[in-house]
Amino acid sequence: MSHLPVLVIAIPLVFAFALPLIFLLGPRVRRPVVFSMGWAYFAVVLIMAGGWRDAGAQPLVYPIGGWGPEIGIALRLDALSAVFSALLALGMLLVILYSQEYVDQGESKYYVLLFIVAAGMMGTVLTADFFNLYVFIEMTAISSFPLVALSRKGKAVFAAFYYMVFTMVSSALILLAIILIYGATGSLNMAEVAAGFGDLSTTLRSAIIGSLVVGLGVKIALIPFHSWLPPAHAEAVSPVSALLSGVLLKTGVYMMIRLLPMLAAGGADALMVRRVLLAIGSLTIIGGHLLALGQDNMKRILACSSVAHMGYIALGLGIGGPLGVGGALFHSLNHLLMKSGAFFAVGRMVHGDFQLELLRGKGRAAPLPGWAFAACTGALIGLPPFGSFASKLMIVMGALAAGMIPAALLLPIGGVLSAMYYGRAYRVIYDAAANFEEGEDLAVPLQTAGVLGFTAVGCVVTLVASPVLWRFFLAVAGGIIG
Amino acid sequence: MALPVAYWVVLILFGMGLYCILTERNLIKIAVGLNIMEAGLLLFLVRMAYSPGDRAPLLGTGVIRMADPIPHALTLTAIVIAASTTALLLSFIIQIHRHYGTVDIDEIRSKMK
Repeated sequence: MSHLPVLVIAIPLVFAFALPLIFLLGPRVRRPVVFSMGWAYFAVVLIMAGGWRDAGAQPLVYPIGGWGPEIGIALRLDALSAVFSALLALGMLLVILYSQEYVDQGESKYYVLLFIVAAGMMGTVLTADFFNLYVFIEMTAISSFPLVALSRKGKAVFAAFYYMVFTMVSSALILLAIILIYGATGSLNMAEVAAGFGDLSTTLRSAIIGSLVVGLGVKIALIPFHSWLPPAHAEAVSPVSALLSGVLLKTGVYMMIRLLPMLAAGGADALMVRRVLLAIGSLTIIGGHLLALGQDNMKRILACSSVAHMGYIALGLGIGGPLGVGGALFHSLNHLLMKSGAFFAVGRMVHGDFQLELLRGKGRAAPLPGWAFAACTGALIGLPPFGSFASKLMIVMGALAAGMIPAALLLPIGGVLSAMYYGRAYRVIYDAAANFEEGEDLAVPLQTAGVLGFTAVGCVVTLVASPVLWRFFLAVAGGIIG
Repeated sequence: MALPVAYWVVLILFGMGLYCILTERNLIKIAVGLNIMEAGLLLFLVRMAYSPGDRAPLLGTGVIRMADPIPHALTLTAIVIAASTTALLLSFIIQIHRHYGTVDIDEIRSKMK
């Protein structure tokens, strides 16, 4: 049996702890080594994720150390974990390639933390054990806190503190659910728990599902648990904002898609969970967009829009059915591309302070980031020719198929609201009458240009490829909800 | 259904910690609240593994009724995680104090503007 599932967790960890040594060797060695590590990580994950097809519909189970399910801790690869591991690794690679200035500055800490996050994310999507899930989400989260505080500015450190407190509470709730699960079923193996979960008493089931929903709700910043997200995502340096908004939020989405259908497998539980997600999702869409309307800081606007987009995903899950869940999956892919792309682009226009006024005319002064920004934010609004149109359409069609017309209306309303605040940003960023201070360095290095181009083109490609992706995500969603 | 005393203690600790996090304005007290909450969870794990009369789970001693060793192993892991997060949290507080000269959330917020 192939050892790839455990290697995708081990390899980034080895990279992380080798990096401080490699950074001692000087800038000439550093650069190629760090970037080839990023590519190697991405390649290994892709090869591993490609392996799920070999096992057909059955998930591929990898027992670590060869121990059986009664004693050992297993990893599991199925369609859902394959999709998410490939997605998260792609996002991670983009972040690694984009942040080359940290290689030049010799900040090994930054890349160490990045690779630990990379390992933790893979562990989160691959583990088949509840307690290991907790360990991996803690590992991912703990290494992301110092990344937020990286600039050491007061605001950034305070945002990191705030983010950390919320995340710790969310982890505590998830741990509480896991303890209850173990106490009630006597097992931590996901497959065994799923088999025996329906026999538990209603009180116990609702306690477990309730603390999971709240814990995961904090993690993906659904309103009313969202207040940590805008400061953390806005005060971090731009590649970290892209990582948090574009990539890390998706681990929370993964856990929601993995755990909630598994535990609330049918009947009253599933209906209740879907109703709660529908209500919270709707609130989050409208609230997130309204929050974004009131901001004057470009990165805060993007961060608040992330809240709204998590709402779309929660709404898709709440609608349920292959179209709703598939739409949520498809939208995760689109959001990863467009939100990280938007943060990447803004990060090349100004440095340090992201007040909208400081961006005046920067879209013209720096043409490539300007175009990338236009493409990614256009995609965030959700009109054709961008892929998020297809994923939102999928959620709308799911809502219509389930007869939920108000839910279907929320998506166009959200689109209009986001067009309002991005329209305001466009008028400032592409202001032709703006003056520039001479000598400001807005040149884009080739590799960064590649990353920007990839995200911008990717936003369009997902529409071109949407017939294929649509069918693919429908099939994956069908496998989850059975 | 009568709940064993230890579970009441767990509930009280968890609630107290959460209340402390949600209402306190002092950063250090928030960190303390998080720790109280985690202590509640750890106690829950340890207590769950044991029912009165259980023996230590040692190999070769012929023990039939024994405490479940898995939650104990999990508790150790959770303690390590809790300790390291507390250290990180406190280091953030030190940095915040260096910047703003206070650990009061309202004062920090007013100084930010």
